[in-house]
Amino acid sequence: MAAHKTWGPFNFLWKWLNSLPIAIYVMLLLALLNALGTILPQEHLVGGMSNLPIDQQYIQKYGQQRWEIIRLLGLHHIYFTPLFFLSLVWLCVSATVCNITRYKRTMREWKTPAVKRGPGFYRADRRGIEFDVEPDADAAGVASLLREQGFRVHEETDDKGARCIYGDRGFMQRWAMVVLHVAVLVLLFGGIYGSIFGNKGNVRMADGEKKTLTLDIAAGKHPLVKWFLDDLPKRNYELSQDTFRIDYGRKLILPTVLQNDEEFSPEFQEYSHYFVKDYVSTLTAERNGTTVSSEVIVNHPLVIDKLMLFQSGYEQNGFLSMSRDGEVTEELVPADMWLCIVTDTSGAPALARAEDNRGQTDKVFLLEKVKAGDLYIDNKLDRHLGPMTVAHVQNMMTNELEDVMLDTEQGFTVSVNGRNVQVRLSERIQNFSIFSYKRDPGMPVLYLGWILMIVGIGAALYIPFHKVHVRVERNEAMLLVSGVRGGGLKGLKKRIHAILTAG
Amino acid sequence: MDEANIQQINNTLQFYDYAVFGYMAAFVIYAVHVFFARHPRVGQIAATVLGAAWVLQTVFLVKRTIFYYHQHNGFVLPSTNMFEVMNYFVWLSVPIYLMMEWKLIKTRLFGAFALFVPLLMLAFNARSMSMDPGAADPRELFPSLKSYWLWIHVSCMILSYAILALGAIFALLYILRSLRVVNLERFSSKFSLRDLDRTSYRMVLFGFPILTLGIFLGAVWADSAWGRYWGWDPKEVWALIIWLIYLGYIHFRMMGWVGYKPALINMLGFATVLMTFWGVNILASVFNLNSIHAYSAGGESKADLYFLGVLGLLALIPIVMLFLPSPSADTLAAELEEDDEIVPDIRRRISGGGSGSSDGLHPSPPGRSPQPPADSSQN
Repeated sequence: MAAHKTWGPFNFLWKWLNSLPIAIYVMLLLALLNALGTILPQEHLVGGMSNLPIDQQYIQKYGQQRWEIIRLLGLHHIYFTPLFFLSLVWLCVSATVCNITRYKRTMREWKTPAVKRGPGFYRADRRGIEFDVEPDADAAGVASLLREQGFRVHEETDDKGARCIYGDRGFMQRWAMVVLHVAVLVLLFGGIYGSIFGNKGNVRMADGEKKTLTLDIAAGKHPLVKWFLDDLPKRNYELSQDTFRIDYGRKLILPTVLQNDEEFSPEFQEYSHYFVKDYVSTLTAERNGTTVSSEVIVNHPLVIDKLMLFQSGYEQNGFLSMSRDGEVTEELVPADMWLCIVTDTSGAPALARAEDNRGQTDKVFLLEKVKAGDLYIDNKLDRHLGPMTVAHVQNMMTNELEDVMLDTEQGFTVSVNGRNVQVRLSERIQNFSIFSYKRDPGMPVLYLGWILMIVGIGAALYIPFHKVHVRVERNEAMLLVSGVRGGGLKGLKKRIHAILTAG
Repeated sequence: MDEANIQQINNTLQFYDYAVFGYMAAFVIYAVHVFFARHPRVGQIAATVLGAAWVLQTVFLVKRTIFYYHQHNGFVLPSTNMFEVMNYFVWLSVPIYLMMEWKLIKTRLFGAFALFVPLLMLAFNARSMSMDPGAADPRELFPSLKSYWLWIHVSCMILSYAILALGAIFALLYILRSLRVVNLERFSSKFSLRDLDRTSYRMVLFGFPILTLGIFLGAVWADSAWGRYWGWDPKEVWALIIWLIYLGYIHFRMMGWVGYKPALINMLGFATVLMTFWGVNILASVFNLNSIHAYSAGGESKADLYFLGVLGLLALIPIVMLFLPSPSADTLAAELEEDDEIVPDIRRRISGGGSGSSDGLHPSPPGRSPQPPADSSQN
């Protein structure tokens, strides 16, 4: 607690900010809000799960009435609500105030520890003991013993002529506590600084594509900070996606649910064996005459002028080939949609949504994602895989559903307006590499904060801090030994007692 | 190809099965030791069986690591699915307990209690394997998992969870003892409130820095894999919740709280560990959360939902108990009286004691101890 004796709003606030119980309750409140954020799906996590608008997804899940309550309380983005923000701000300010107080107190204890302690001090602590001594008790011997034991010793004589000795050992623990709390502020500063002066986003690049990435620090920032960021220069980076490939592997063992269930056809089981093992871009970035080119894979970003480009995702699109009487048309395969084949205005076969064209075709189908790339088995290149996929084909006449393996040779036939259309996959594949980019000047500060915190926690919890207070006054001595047991404290009380009572 | 792999995997699983039997046997012998035969020889046998089971589990772990090494052309810690993570948890818990037994508590009477959480993990694995025979099979590696951070981050997190689990067991024993549900002290003086409280706190002091390090290393890994060190992902958020609760616990201890209430907070902290470890996977499945930590997805079966409910209760019960009157405050205060080490030079408040004399401030009257003081540092 701060040693403010005068009353006033500032001191009152200071006292509250300095209060450990309040800080703990705010921590627990933050924990509760965090937990709530994982029980109610958060906007940023449900966003990509469906094609429906976000509010519709919530309405579908909770109903209109509950959704209104959720929206009113901001429970769908709890980490951005005023309550969450205020709790964080309280902790930040509290940590700052606590740091100032702690630093001042530690510095005082370090430089001018309270040596002269009256009898009340010893009596108020249950660890304090009192015993009779001879008038010539060897106080100097106690000081020597403490020095021998590695204590920092201060000796003084008080107004009543009592010899007061204070010793402490492991003061580093006290400084570690300061460092630990400073670390929290450093972390917060790093995070805030990075979010104000940093940039992040995604860039999607096709194989062989070139793009200029412009970093505008003011873009997307809060109006509170945007006004002074507007004047900062924009940074341009020239990006060139030289190559992009998606490598596949073959699963060691198919999940049991796929292996044993008769619901899954052999075609689907075979298709399910192949998984994306790696996606690799060869990317060249250039800025102000500096060019960096490297292979970018997950966990290995490209770094140029403090901009980091991460391989964060990919898109692989296949094309459906529809041939009728030697005439071939190709169309991009749309994802997660039941399809059918119709004829367009020129009479050529075309893909269409099945639900909009009922009755025009004898078969509708749903395509799994197309897979195409080099296949590695046991880490060795085995062969080129695909393009391949599985079509779940439903016969509209019989309602029978069958799985058909689709590749550049195999396929199925659909009757459109009485004429057969051969459906298979085209050789064409469209791959996109998705990069997350980040320029975060707060990162070094954050790392410093983390290191300070871990070192601080380690030192604060593991360096034993011991204090010894001794008061020798005529025929009486008082002794108070405090600190974590062990670490050389064993028997110290006894030894001091023995020195003082030695006749 | 698949046949050969299945054969190889089944061969390695045999060692896991032997280890499970070993752990169960050790549990039974430890239980006999504490409840019926407190002869040291029985404790030694239990510890030996436990050690042997751990060696068998190590063989399983090494064999699976070798299998992965051949598959991925490099070291991969077997932690690619829930089965392997649980296995790793047990594998880390056992030596920590044995070391604790040897160095810290110096008794083998706690073995049956300490093995409770590891056995729970093994039971969970058995249930998963009974529902899905492929649950123990090795999985393919996601690209983001191909990093040396995998073993560093996972090891730190699981190690901290294992240590905090042991701390929670001692806290639970403390609560049961103070509520007089069981009178453990009749078995041994090692079950005194003072020892239970102290050991529980020490385990948190040991586990908390490792937890902090694990979260930090996870953030470093996330930054290098996805370009962000924090993304409010459910798993990340729950790791933060654990951290905040144990931080609160340590601060309460610094304020001078000992005994019953800190034990409840410790239990609450461990409930959040379980939630992070298990519950989040189920949450992600139930609420269709797009979690980047969904490598070991949970299910949506009724049993999973019940399990989620149980985890919720485990967190709720300590919270409710915190607001109820503490049991037998005077007795607890008296038992904790002699404790000199827990909070350095800070006045203590015996939990539930309120203020006044029971808040731990006992002025020493003049001449109170004319005799040489007993050495409070001796155990």
